[in-house]
Amino acid sequence: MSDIQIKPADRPKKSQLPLPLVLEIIPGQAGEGLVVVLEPGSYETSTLRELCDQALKRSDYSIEERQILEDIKRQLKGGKLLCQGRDIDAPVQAFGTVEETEAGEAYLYAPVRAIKPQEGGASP
Amino acid sequence: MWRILPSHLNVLVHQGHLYVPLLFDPDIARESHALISQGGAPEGAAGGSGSAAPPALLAVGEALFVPAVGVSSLVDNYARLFPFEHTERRRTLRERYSLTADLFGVALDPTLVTIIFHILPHFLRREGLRRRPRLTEGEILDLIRNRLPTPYHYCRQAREFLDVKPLQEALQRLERAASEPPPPPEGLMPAADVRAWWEEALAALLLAEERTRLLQELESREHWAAAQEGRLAVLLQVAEKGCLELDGFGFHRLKGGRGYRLYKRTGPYALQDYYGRVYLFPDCRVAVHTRGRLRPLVVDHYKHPFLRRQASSQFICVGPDSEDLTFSARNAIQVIEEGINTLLYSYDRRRRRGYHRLDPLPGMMRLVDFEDYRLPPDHPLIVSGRVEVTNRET
Repeated sequence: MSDIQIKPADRPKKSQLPLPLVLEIIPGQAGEGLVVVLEPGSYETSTLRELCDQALKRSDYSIEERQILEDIKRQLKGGKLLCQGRDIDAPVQAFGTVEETEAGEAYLYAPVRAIKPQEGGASP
Repeated sequence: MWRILPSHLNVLVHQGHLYVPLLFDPDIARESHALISQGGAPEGAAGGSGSAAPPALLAVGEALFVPAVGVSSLVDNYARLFPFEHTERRRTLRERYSLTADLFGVALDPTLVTIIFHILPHFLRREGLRRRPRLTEGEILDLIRNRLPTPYHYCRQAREFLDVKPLQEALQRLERAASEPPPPPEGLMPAADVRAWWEEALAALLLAEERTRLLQELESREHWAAAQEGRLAVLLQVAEKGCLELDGFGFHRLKGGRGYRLYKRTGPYALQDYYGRVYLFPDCRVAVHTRGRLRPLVVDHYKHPFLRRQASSQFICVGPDSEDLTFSARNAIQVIEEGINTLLYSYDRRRRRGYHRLDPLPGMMRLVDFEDYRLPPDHPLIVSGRVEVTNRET
């Protein structure tokens, strides 16, 4: 008789435990973005937009991070922040997915893209 | 030019200008001598007007000479006036100094260097979320090597390439050759002497150019020799094949040396119409060409409200705000992103701008139909969030 194996969920489940938040703000279609880590208890009452605004106002970034910050700000001139195709005026729990580090530590991950939609509709 | 100047013909070189004999005409000769005797033009080859312009007429004995061309321009403009002959002379010199036999170095196209080291890293995603410093050239090649197998053939080529000895020997051979062009001659002489000087000066110029090229190549190879052989094998592979795809970003060389086509895959995405109905759009490649004005296009056979029809290689209608940009890393990234943002985020389901609407008015003739892309509202791809509805908020 073979053991019953439980198939893992295809998508990570929403977290019920206090977890650190890893917020990544990605400029446009870039592969990587600005990564900000927030401790449990410091982000739960804020919307994702508030957290993004705080992250974008920080001034303690490295040179590489500042270059990404410039790219994000360039996209936001006429653009907006989107997470999973939605506006980010909701608590972060509505967006984040639980992921694990290589060491097996769980964290809540929220990728936000700074997107500048085009006007479209007229031939260039 | 040498065909119209027989070797035995006497020509005059004066103050860097080549003077040719004036054809004899009794009236012109009389008037010219009268002009010279009145001081209108200096007489004698040694005489000079003192100004920058050459004297319009010189007399040596009974013969009159008129300026034809600057002697240095015969050397300087040869490549421009006679490009084919110039190439042939260069080839001959390379053979003479054994410069072609040893050099199997890969000529790295500057456009390819820009694509690999300045555009590709923008779209790459590394493992983990640690602080990620900017990728160096070697790290980019390592990333490619880790994801793409490198055939042995390229590893062997890399070893040969890293051996700079043949290149150094070629440079030594060049050192023995004359490097400084001789000064232009002066005075009355047969045309054959001027031609001999010209041949020597041209050869010296070509050798100086070859020396510069070899030194640049040597510097480049010594730079790469410091890196690992595997990295170089990757570079040789990409340079020869002219194509690559990583993390949805790719490029390939166009036929006939028309530059490169760079593209980024959109992945599948969904758009909503006015009534909230969802349409699933398949993955496509949004591309730009490196030659000419940068305009985003969809490579694949595709349909979308911002494409004129259902076909391949269609330019995306990005709107009137798009700039006229030419190829650079920053511009190419910007235009590719504009194209993707147009497809994914720019269809306004209320204003319905574009060539086509997802939900046409009743009775409206449909040139492009999107009904086959429609999904039920509870489709697992949408409910699970695997495919994003990208125009929900735009």
